[in-house]
Amino acid sequence: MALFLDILVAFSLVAIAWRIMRAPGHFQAVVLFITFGLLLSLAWARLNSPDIALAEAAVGAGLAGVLLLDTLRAVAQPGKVKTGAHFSWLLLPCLLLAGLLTLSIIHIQPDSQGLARAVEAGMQTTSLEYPVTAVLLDFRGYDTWLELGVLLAAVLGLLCVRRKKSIRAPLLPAPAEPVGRWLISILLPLILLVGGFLLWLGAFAPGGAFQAGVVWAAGGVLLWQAGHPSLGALPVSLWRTGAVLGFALFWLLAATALIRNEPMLTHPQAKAWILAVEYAAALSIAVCLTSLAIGGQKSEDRNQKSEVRDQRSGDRCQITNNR
Amino acid sequence: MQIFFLALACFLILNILAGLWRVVQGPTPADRMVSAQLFGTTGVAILLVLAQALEAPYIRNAALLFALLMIMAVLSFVRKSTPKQGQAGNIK
Repeated sequence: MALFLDILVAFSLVAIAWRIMRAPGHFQAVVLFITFGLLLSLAWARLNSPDIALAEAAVGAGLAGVLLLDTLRAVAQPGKVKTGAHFSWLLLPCLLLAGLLTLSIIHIQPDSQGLARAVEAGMQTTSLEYPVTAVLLDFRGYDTWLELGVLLAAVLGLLCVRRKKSIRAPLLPAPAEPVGRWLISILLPLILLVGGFLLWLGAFAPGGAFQAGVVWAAGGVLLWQAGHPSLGALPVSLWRTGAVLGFALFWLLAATALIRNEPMLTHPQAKAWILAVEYAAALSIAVCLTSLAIGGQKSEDRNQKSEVRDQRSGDRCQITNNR
Repeated sequence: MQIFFLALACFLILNILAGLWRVVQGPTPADRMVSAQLFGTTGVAILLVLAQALEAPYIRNAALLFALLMIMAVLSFVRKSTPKQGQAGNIK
């Protein structure tokens, strides 16, 4: 029965992926992609990787659908879209890649433990109880640090591309939406709670900073979608602090290790310190992802010039407010 | 009991596959969106059943996330097709 389930999930994934590429309309492809994320999460759950299943569920349901639908609105054009026809030259590279991947899978020993044994051996030296979190924050802190840097760079890049001076400028809310306002009162407390729950869970079970950050980011996008003014009312300095906090704490960790004359990113083995880094990382991920998800939005019924002018006057208001 | 849960999961996945017909056929964007939402509900059920079958309780959290966040896409879709923001029909 388990084999049948595996075959069914694998078949559905490939079939939906194929249909996404051949879909006659963008909207159909977007809806199929949302379904694809759902089945992907199922596949990860079946493969016994609840961490990735959680991340896929949060990103797929919370952010990807919104991003794709909003992008669709930005690029919406009437008429049918050509699909697939001029991509036939990609067939050979794709087959080559598929062959290479198959070859590498064949070479994996069936009873291979991968790095699990090394991680298990290292678990004595860390104060965290859950191996995945220990790898992310302790053993391979460098990777997590740089990933936070990538997110930060993406936000800065977005500001450059959109020619916005302030990180808050893209946060002006969407037109007020009554259904959304009603949803906020039900969903937002739950979103905050579940995000905090996942973050807390990360210390000893599947969960952690990224999943929590994505859930909170979904909350931010919800606020923005419903036209709630709260995000825009936040002081811009607070928003900036939130965006760099995770990266900054890792940086502090590296700098203090340098002063204490130890290898970089080794830290005092205090659980409180690691958890502080994790919580800061979650906050930064939430702020950065919210900025990315809604910062790329173009207001629809104004042209670019008036948008810039509005933004300038917005900045001026902001300066007077700061005074 | 495990076989029962796995069979149930298979049946629910077959349900999703059957529902894909509506996504492919349409004809309106709303039809497609609603079926995606129903997949979300089915997905929650599958994850819960899988958590029971594989005895991996933390999979339930993924179900929780889907139950909580599937509405986001609908909200975006509704916002997108409100009449005052342009023609609702041009997003097929």
